[in-house]
Amino acid sequence: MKITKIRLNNFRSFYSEHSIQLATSEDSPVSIFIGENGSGKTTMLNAIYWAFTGEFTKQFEGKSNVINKDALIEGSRDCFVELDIDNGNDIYRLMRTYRKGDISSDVHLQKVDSHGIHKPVSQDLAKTLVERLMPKKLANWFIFDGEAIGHLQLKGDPLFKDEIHQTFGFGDIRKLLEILTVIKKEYRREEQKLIADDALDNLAVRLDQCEEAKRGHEAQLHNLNITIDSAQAEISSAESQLSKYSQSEPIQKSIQNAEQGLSTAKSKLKGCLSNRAQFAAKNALATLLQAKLSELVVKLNIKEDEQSLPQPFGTRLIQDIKELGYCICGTPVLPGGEAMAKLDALMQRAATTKLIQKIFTIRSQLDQYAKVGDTFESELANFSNDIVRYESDINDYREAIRKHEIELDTIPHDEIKKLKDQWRKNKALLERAQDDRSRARVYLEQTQQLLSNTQQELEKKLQEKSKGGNIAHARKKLELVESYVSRRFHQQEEQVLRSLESELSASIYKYMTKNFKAEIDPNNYAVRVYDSDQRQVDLSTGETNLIKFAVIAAIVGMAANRTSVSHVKWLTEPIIAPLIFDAPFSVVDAEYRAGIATNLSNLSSQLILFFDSDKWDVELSALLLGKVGKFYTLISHAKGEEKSTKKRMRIKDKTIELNRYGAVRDHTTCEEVSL
Amino acid sequence: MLNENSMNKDLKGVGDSALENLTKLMLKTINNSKSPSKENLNVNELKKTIKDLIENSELDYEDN
Repeated sequence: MKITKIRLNNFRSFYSEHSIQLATSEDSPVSIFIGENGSGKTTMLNAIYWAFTGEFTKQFEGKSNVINKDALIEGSRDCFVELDIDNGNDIYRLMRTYRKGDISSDVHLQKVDSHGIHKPVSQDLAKTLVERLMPKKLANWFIFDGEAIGHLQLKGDPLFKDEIHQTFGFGDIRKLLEILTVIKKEYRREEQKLIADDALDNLAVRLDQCEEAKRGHEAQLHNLNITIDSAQAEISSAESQLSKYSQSEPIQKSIQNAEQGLSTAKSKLKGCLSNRAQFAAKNALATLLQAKLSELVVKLNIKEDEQSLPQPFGTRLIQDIKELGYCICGTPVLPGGEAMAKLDALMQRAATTKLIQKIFTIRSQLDQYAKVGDTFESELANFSNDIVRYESDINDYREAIRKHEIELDTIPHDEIKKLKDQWRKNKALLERAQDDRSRARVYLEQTQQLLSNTQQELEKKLQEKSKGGNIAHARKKLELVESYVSRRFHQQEEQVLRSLESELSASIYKYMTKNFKAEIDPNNYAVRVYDSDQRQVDLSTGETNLIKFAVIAAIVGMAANRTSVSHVKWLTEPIIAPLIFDAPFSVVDAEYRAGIATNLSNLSSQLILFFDSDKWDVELSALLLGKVGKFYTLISHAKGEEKSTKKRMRIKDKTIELNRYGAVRDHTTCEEVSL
Repeated sequence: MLNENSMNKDLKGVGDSALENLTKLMLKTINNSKSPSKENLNVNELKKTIKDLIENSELDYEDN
């Protein structure tokens, strides 16, 4: 489906009527609209959205003011948006109108025949056809503000799976399978009515019970899969958030180390203070006395010099005799001899003189005090140095603890606790659900086996009873169709997923230049990316947005058979619609812009892009202009005199004014730029 | 595109081609029955149409 022309009348900032032709050719399917902020880009996008759905995008402001304000003042009561649509087979003109005071808008559809004659389609059929061209649920896929790409969930969101199914028409196939099951049941009942047989009745009851049980197990499995997916998502979310707070552990460890260091330093300080006190107590008196006693020594020496003290009795003489080895009388004094023994006895007696003994004692004590005095100060200084060092260590440890505690205060402990609780709760839930799922799978397998056996038994009986019967005949045809549809459905789904994986991997390689591989979980359609070592890759927000755009481009491209992968032979027509983006690159990193622009323009059958004039640059121009079939500027017209704030931009070699003054009313016009 | 509930000649015979045509016809019927203006589409009518399509088709199940 392509939109060939848009016509707006009194819609929002578009006063009166505006007609805009869009690019639709295979080679140049891109239409570009550029305008300054507030010039009506989002309005134009919403005009298309509204024409299809009767609603506006979530981001659109002032939804209740549909009719142009000046037109209302001047007496107009209506507005409309009209789209000319080429559906490949048919051409339609879709018009949505709104009249002031009405609760809702009206949709009108005309089918244009080969002679160009417009034939109105009934209201009911019009609604059906419009829904088929652009299903309301899928409008967000095709028409959106660039920022809305963030809402697309690739982690196994049921909505994402449902939307892909809708795009490729799988919903209708599932519905057909459901209807076939109901019809098959009816056939069986009819067959049973025709052939009254207790054995058959019992078998039929058993079959019903088996089917009921199978449905129950399948539903249980489905719910358990959802629970498991959800628990896994919660666990992974909690882990991812907790990993952000993992710095608290090294901080706590540092605090513990600092506290241990503090305790050791305190204990060393205490020991040192105690040792110093003991040392001082033991030696301080000696040091004090040393000073006093040295005066006494001086006095003693003086006394000795003055000979006012009794000379040590003959001690000098005895010493001399012992050293000489003979007495003054000539008697030899030999070591160990009798004379030596007598001399020693004399020395002993001389030393026992009370005064001399005291002087000896004092001198000896003085010697000791002198020794203590020599080291006392340096020892005390050593103690003081140790104390200063330990006190400094204590201060350092305290400061470190304080700093770490401040760091720790910035970490939201409640949040961490909450996340840990969430992790534990979901881990337990996941384990329980996985156990339950294993059991449910066994039950389902057993039930399927029982069902198959019962079916065979019933079949045999029915064949015996109603060979050649019309109902059995019809039922068998139906079973043949059912088996075919089921096989084709699973084949197509598999092909879609594998093709999507291949397209995504190619986009990642091409635009992120990384050799990653995209995989899609067939259960919940979660998109995961793996590196060359098969490890799951955590992508940045910018990379994720690139993947999201790649997903949209790949799906749209596959539906329109524009991808490089093998074409799918669809059982139902997929939805093929234009991609319409406002500010498409507002949420992607600049480095990926080129890749996304190229991908979108290659894969979409029609691409309509709205850019802020500030965002349109040489690079985009070079990338897209080759594919652009129509290029428009949205001009803001304002009342009043010209101001110096006129905004201009250059497109190729042309300079275009984006705002003009002196208008009768504020409004927007759309002007084509020929390229 | 619409109102094509009549039987198709191609449905005669056996093999995937006949089955595919019948399937496409049934899916088209389902698609046509969707109308936003009818909140509860008539499931019984849809069922009956699909039943008719299968019964009137000349698929030969014994050869499949």
